[in-house]
Amino acid sequence: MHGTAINLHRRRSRVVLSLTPLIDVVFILLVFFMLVSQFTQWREIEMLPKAALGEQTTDDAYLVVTVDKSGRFIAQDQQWSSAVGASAAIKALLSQDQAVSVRALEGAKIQPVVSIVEALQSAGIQNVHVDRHGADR
Amino acid sequence: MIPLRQKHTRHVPDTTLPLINIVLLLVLAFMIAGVIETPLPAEFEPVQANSETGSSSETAPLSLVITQTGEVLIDSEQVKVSDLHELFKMSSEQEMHLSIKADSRAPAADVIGVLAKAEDAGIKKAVVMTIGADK
Repeated sequence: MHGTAINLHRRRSRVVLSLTPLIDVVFILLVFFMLVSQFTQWREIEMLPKAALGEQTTDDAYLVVTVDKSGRFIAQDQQWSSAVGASAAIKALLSQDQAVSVRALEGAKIQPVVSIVEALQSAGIQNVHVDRHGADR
Repeated sequence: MIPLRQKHTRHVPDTTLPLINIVLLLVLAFMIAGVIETPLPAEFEPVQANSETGSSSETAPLSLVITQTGEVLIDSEQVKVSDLHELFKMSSEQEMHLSIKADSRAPAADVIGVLAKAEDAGIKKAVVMTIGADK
């Protein structure tokens, strides 16, 4: 009997999958994405200067706001150290349809210039231009 | 005879699977939430914005970095300011806009000078990229 019986339940050969290469690849991917990914939320402030303003800043059509090298904002003999405070005061100084021209003096950094442009735009002043006077090189 | 070595037949559960799951989830999180960009120079301090105004950033076709000393970089390589006009001219022909990531301590004259060159070359839109101010 034993010699003629057919064993229907054959043992399947067990295939063992090695997870080590998978872990290696996944770790390499993780390290790659950790190194190259950036999560900084960038915002855009439009700042294209107007060529024509260079000569027309004394015109009544524009109120000139000057940024000095210590980061203070000067307009019509008044000074402010905060961009938000300056923008509120400048809005009160503006007459109807008057634009604002932001002029950076020699030695001024870009941070206060962007701050005042942004603060003026936030205050609802649409016509804000950066004066390119002295910036051409 | 007593066998000196006994076979261990006890099944040890595979503890690497939860680890792989977590690592795969981290990879997915970085792939979805992160943006792959050219690295900024060391000690670069971006210009900060106080309010939430300004549109959210898009991938700009022409992206410049201006360092603290006023050097202009494209893809981490320094570019001469005199070469910018030609580059801006080509970009304006393709109706690209300009995006500048300036160090907050960069001279305003240098940044405005680059913006002026872009305007001269016919670029219609130029933006300075900012991040939210530290609270």
